[in-house]
Amino acid sequence: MSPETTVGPLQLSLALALIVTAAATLYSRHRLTGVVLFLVFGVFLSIYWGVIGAPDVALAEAVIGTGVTGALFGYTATVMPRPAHDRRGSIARTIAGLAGGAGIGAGLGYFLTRAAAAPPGGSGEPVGLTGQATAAVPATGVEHPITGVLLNLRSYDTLMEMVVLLSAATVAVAFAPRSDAGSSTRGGAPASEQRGPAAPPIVRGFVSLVAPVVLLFAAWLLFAGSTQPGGAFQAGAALAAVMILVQTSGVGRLRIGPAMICLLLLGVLAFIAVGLGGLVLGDAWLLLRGEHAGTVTIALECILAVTIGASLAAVFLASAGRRR
Amino acid sequence: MTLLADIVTVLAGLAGAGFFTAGTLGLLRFPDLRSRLHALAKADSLGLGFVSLAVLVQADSAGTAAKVVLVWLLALAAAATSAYLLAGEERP
Repeated sequence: MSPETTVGPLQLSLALALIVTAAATLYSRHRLTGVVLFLVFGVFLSIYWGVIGAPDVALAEAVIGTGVTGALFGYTATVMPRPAHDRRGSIARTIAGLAGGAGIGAGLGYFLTRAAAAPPGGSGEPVGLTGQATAAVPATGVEHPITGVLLNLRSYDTLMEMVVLLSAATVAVAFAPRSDAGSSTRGGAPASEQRGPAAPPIVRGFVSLVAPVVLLFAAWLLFAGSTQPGGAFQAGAALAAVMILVQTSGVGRLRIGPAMICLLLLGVLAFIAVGLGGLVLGDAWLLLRGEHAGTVTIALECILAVTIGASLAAVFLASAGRRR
Repeated sequence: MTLLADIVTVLAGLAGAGFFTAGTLGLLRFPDLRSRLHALAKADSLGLGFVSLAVLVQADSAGTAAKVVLVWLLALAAAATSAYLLAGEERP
């Protein structure tokens, strides 16, 4: 359970590639070049997380950090108008940024390695946070420690993350243009314009081919999460990716309507219901123990994945509904 | 049997590396967008095919082998689609 952190040529060259692509992303002349370089940076970062023994983070980085964020950036760079004044960093700002980044990185690295290695307050076992979490996993009813920690041991944090996601989606939907968010009778724009520019047939064919595969992958990630890397957040992001692909290619038409709003609310409501269940049936608010803990966790994960997918897609749809 | 698989892996891996190098050379040296896309989409897809073959003969189960083939087929479709989209940028 403790991956030996070795620093070899592979780790060093990946770290170097990360720094180079990050710099190239920040200092690229064209916005679209910057977006593509950001995607390359994300790929390197995912590989790096995988290499240092954190496959869950690698998956999350690949689908959320690179996939969904990259889609938003790509949309911004290709469709949104360029801001009137483009502020380029001066040398002083560059130096200040480098120093600040190095300081924050060194500080975080110091405290994180301390936290992972520190013994828990004088008891006999010389284990840090990793050891405590691994020791508590059997009580959560799932086999994979990360899922156990996320949905059971620190479920209060995860509930708050869902609330943050709901708030973000609410704000995005609230600012979405009316013709996109309202009913089809309102607005009066012709159907072809509402649908957006239709992608070429070859792209629609590609999306029809790939969307089922990605859906299958999302389902696999969801159910794999109880025993191996994967889980609700990764599956939800893959689901959002399908929705974004289907929408932008014109294969389907997704609308932020009542059904979407229900999906957005479902995750937080289900989480609160599970928390109340713990209060009524068990010992405490959000405490999930006992023989059914595993089943409840997986059911909750399914609902959370749908809500996460809907929220991420809603943020994209609300922003992408705004045309020049 | 293992020796045969190893020989196939080495040969196919080398061939894949060769095609990737040729594709990269073409991307860097060809004059216009479409020639560059031609180098990238064709040579790299074939290179990935050879690398997939090299991995394929080392797979210990049919499921793993099928996943490798699936990865190659999806990459083929993605390369063709993105090359088409990039070429469309130049269409009058």
